[in-house]
Amino acid sequence: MTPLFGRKLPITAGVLIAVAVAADMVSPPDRIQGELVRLMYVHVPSAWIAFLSFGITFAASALWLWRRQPRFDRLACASAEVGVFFTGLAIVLGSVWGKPVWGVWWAWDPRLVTTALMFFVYLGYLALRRATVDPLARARRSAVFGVAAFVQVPIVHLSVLWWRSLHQPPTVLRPGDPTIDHRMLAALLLSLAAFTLVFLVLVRARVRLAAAEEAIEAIQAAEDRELAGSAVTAPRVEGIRIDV
Amino acid sequence: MSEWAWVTAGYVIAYGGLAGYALSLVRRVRTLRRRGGNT
Repeated sequence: MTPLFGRKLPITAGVLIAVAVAADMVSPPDRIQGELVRLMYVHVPSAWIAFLSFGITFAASALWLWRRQPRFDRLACASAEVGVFFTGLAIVLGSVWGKPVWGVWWAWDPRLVTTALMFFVYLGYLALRRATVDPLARARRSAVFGVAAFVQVPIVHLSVLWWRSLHQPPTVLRPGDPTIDHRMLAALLLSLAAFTLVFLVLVRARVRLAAAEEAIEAIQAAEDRELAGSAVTAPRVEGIRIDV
Repeated sequence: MSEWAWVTAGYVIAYGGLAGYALSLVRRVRTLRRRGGNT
């Protein structure tokens, strides 16, 4: 039976998390924010991984529309769910950082508002999947949604440049050299690497879970049709093997 | 609250949240197994 999370990757991710947290703690404090700057090492990677997740959902959705292969639908769904989690995490961590620095848990700031919108839109993606029973219709609707919804990612990233914002403008993903102390940049990149490995572990597990759910769904649908025809749902039959 | 207290809260939320999500995936697999009567 395939372990849900695998073996080598979770161990590597755990080690890298430990190294990243150590680097975060020894990096220098900020001139203005003091120790609070260390929240950057969890808040920023969460946001970046959210962008990555939705980028993968976009690509997998486009691939499904092109090839119609179930594995692309599973990947799109898995990545979207993990992306919703990381977006929520980025918002919460942003609040935890914003309260001591800005004095408020929330502000109607372009970056915060566009991120929250993105969170709810992709939550809608997950709700759409839940609400659609037929697997083919679910995959098709999700794929179109997954392609269209990605437009929000550049909007969120560029919101601090397009509109007046409390939020810090880009310091790394910008033209020219990063405007950040090199020791802080090293800690940030280590944290990002750790978060990326965790993201891979989670997406891989979620894809396996999706495959198992589809297998059960397909077997139960086939048994229903065999027993009673497509107009009637039969009682569920036990004894279905799940290879996860 | 001190600055380190905010930082600690943030790290607990971040890594605790990640662990919680991972555990939720494990729970969903167990639920599937119960539904399917896995061997």
